[in-house]
Amino acid sequence: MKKFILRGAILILLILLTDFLIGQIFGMMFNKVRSGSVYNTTYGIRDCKDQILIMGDSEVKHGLVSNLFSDSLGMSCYNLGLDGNNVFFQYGMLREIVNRYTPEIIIISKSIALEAESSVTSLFPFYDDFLYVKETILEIAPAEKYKLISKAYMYNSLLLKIVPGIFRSDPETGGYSPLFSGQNRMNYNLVPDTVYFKGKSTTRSRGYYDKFIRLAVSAGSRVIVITAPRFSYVKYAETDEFNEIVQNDDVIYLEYENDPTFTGHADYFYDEFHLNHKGAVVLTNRIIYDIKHKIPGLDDFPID
Amino acid sequence: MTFTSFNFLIFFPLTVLACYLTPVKKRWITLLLASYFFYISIQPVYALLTAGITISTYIFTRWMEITISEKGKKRLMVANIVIILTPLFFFKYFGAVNNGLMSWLAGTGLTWPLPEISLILPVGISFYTFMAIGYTVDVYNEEVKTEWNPGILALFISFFPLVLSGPIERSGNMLPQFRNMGRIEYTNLTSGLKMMVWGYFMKLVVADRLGLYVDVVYNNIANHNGTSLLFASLLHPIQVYGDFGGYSLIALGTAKILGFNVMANFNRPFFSVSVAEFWRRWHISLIKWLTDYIYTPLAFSMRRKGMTGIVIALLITFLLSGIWHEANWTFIIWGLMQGIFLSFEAITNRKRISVESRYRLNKKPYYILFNIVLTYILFTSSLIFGRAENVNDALLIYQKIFTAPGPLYIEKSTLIYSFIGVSILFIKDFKDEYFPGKLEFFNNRNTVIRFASYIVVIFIILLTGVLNGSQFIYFQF
Repeated sequence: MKKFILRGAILILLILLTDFLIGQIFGMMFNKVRSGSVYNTTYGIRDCKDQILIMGDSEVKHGLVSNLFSDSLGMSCYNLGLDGNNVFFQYGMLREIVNRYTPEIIIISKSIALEAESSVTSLFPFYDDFLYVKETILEIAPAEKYKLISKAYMYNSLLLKIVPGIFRSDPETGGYSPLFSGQNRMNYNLVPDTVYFKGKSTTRSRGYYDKFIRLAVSAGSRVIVITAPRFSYVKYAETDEFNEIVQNDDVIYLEYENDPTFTGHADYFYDEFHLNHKGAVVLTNRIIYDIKHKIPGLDDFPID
Repeated sequence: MTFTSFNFLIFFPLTVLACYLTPVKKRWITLLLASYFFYISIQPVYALLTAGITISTYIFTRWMEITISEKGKKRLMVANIVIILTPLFFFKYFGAVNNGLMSWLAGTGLTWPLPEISLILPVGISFYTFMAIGYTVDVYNEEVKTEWNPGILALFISFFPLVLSGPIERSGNMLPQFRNMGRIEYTNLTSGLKMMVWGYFMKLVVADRLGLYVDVVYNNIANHNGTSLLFASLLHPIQVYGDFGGYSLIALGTAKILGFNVMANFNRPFFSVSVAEFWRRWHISLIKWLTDYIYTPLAFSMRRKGMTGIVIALLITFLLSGIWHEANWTFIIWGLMQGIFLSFEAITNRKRISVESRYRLNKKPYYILFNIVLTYILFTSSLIFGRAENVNDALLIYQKIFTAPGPLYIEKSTLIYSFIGVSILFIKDFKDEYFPGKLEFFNNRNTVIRFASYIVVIFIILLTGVLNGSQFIYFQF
């Protein structure tokens, strides 16, 4: 037994040392990333100062063209959307942002509230250095406090995002990531249909969506909630509870889901849930037009 | 709490510590409490079911012990089997039968008095029910002594490393170990930890990563082409192997650390050269159970029918195996396909052996490789039914595989991580299969190499594993 304890202690020591070294190496590499989703998140949490911020998941990441907002509204704009993310992650990021400055407009997608899983893994690399990120992680997933003792765990599944991100640069698109129809990877032979959306908000996700909006409003930002278009006509199992959050005076709520401009128009879509670049341009112009009519003082800039 | 949850990483070392602090003769009490705590942490109410099955099994087997007449004993055995099968049938099959009847009657214009029913299956019920049945039959056959200590029997049925998804252990192996627990063994601790680390690798690095790809394709069959569906279908058996094989290894490892030897559930199944061999290497504990309690008695009762009897016994056994998995046509077809493959092999066995020995094919690498690939393809073709939501989806997958080629759907990072994990797994299995004892890593005599290999695997898990606490596939069964 003594043998086991001694060898076990040596092994644990070696594991801790390796973990520390991996943390140092990954930390250095992480800070050198210049492109991709890692850069996008780092830019949002650490650097951004843009007047318009677009936050949400893949729907806005590939659906809202930042440069069109900048050109049309005369305000700097950055798209902080991240594929497959949720309101919990966005809330943590927003806390860091409003602690640094107040964006004038925050555009956020509704769909992030429909992701029930309260994963905040994308925030892990910022855990040690950003107080509000740390607080958010501990608030949402308290057990992570212990797991994040491991620095390797902090960078789980990030290797293939970090390494290419060091050597590549993103085009100057302000965080917007276009999808082109020719790249369709799935066998889309789209036929518009009625889809009963399976995603459901939970009490928790609605609560954090509400907190997100309250935080942005109290910081002095105008909040615009959008529902992005889908190829098919969408029906939700339940919307009332969510609508209470977005249909009030503090929020401009713009619905493009089931909008006849988009629904069923295959040439605007990359796949059933995401617009291609052509569709993104049309949607962005629609949003610009709509918010110019809803926010006084913005209508001085011409629409492209 | 499951093996991949953070709570288990706290629960397990504390249990080990508590066990070793408890006097050997009372250790079963600590293990029983830990097992019920483990189960209650997942589904509190259903722990009553486990307790009920234990009580029924204890009473009936003790009663069998004091019953003299053979007929009476048999009646008691059947009574207990019926009683302990009732919850399994209720939770697993009642909803399916009810809903099936409802839709069938709706087609004829009649109405069924009950509404549509969807019951939550108590986790592990299929596994511990089979263990209890096995014990009852073994007592009846006088293959094991009746357990007089209800606590030991309760521990056998609820033992936390096995209760959720097996291996479906036998009373003949486990009860003597529970009765005579040994001292702390250094080798048990180290070999148990090695099994657990490799089990976590299989689950988190291989299975869960492959699952990200397979789920995306299978959850959207209509929008994926035949190439992507074929690729996902070929990856799916490896995902299940990683998931269930990984789970089984973690179970074996936890039991080993606690001082118990549990039967292996997998033995490098993808190196099998026939379907029959495959089923001696895949979910071994279930197949052994089905062989002992279903196939052998059936084949014996039909021994006068010759090959026909064997074929019927095979078909019935694997049909039941399919139904055991799920009360769904997809699994019935899956089970029947296994039965057909095995029957074909049984019928052609003599002829095949004679051809193989005449041309010495068994030693030719290309012939071995051909058989390995063929066995994999046959299993994959049946597992399409096992994975699809329903028969129509499975048929659509088949149709698209043969008629709708196209560019492969690629999730770059998922596939790269998967490739790393699958390569490591297959290289290790290949080495263990064809070069056992050579090029050891976890078991190398050199401490530096051994420690380095532990550290490499642990950090591969931490850096590339899917660490979101996902469930094991076999929990649904």
